[in-house]
Amino acid sequence: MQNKSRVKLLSIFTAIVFFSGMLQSVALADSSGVSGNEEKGLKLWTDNCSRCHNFRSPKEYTAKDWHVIMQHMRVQAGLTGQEARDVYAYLVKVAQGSDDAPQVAADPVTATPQAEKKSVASQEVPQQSSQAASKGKAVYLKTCVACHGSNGKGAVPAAPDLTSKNSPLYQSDAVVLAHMENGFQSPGSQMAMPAKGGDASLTKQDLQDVLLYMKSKFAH
Amino acid sequence: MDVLKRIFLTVVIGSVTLPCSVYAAANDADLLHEIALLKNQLHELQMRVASDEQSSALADTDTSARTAVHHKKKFTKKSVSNDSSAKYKSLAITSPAVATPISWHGPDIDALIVGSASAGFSKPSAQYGSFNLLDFNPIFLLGYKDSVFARVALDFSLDDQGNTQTSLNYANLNLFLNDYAVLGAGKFDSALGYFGQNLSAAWINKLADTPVGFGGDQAAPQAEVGIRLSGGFPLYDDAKANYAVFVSNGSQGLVDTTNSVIDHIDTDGFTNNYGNYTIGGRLGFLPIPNVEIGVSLSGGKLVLLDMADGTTVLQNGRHYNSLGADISYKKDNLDLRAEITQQQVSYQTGSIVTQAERWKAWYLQAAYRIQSTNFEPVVRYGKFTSPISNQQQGQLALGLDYWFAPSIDVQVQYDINHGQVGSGANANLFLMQLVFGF
Repeated sequence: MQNKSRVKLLSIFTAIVFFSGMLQSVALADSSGVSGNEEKGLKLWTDNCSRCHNFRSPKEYTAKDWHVIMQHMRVQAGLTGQEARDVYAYLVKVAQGSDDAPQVAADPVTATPQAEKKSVASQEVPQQSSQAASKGKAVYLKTCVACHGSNGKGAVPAAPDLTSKNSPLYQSDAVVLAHMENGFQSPGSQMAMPAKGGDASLTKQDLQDVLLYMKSKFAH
Repeated sequence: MDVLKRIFLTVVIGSVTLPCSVYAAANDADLLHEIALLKNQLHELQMRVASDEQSSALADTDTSARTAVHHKKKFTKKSVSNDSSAKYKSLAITSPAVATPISWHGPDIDALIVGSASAGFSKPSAQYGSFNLLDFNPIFLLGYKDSVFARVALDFSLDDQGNTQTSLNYANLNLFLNDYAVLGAGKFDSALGYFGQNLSAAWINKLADTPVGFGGDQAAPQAEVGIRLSGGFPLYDDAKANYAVFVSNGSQGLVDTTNSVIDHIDTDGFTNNYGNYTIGGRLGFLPIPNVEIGVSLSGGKLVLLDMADGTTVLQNGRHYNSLGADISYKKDNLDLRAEITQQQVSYQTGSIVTQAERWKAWYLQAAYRIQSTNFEPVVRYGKFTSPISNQQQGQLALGLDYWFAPSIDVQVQYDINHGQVGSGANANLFLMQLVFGF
């Protein structure tokens, strides 16, 4: 008797949630990625996925594959619909590596030019204007900061400490730029840096500006 | 004269090529960089061309018919290779951004095969070893738009005689009700606890075996057949919660009639459980993103069956419940986990088994990925207590993972076991396996 009561209670509860949920489903159940935020997605990806398993490269699957996988992970890991859309937006952007990917929410971060720390920059850093460094900072804060952190010490697992004595910034400019351009995974690292940090719209000049900024800011 | 000519030519050629060589060396890094940039641009162009080809192929003819043919071909590698259509060859070969050999994407329905495979060797102490670790677990995922989603996980393995064993790990249909709720029906990995539903896949489990007491017919519930409501919701700042509640057919108790004890609880998930149901769920709380604390509980009734034949009903409607708690912490390369679970059957007079019985298990696990290497040592200690003395076991598992890729791993492990003397639970065990998650 008690068992039947429990079943009835849960059935009523389920029915309530079901019908109330259906009313919202048209507006909220879309996980196509259109309304996802890539920056939030990157953070959610690093926070949630690594709690169970290693990071899989976003390029292991196509955008449509990731759509299916994110539906799977909604069921498997208890993600909300918005979380799934955010992670999907990030994965699509990196997987496609094209401008077709959902765009990052507008982030009008404009850097205030700082006094250049030219004395600590690598010998290979050419003399650049503070305007270039300012542009580099803006790109860094938009595209790179999610993984490398505002202090360059790394905001996600496996992101290298750009301020350390083993910083990859001490490699030659050509090597660093090639890694930034094409993506790179350090030996033993749990995740790869996507090409152009996942923003295919970045130009060669953008990358050079970012490198200039990073060397002046972090390569002590 | 010839000698003078040769000397003259040597000087001329040398004077031209030497500066070129020096110049080339000086610009070697720049050239490499330019080549890398050009490769990247070429890759982007290839992807755009492939995307355009797909669009034109779908627009050229009737979309649904084309898609149906395309789907069929994607599932049959041979048929793709024999396809005389240049467009479809193009899609299959040069358009990795459109589909992979294990996926199938239509206007409304998307499908994908993921899963894991593992193979390896084990050797109990003082016994012979054998290549007896072999598992193939494909998971079929099929979604209809963003509303219905099916998940089917199969398990293929070999028994001691080499016969293929097949089982349906789970098969469920799910409706995405809203951002916070998914309603599912079918067979699920048990929502109770954390290891069984989230960590047991071969490429996710950092060790080659399950913690003691967390396997089948032990302390941890394995599966449910019924309905489930699950999802997650934000709380404050970065804090969030996830949940799963279910009503299912519940478990079965297998009775050893010679000793009048329940030998074990079978939680594999049954379609007929003699009118018994179990209700339960798990609530997970994440105060910060890298910490999860979960509490699980369930209650209901089960049927007691004679273990000798597995069908004779000895008692129907025996009270049953399970409790569990889990916690995990992940920070950079460090991964810490702990979990405890128990199932118990209540005391009841007049039954063939009057006494209450309880199966309980717990484990602690730590893993650390060594910086800048592919090595990840793992240590786990666990204990399983049971009313049946020869089932009880304590285990210290020492493992080392070498990651070839994020989902390809070689695991080497040594289990130091403590169980009833003379029983298999007391034998130490060496394991080594290759794992592939796809």
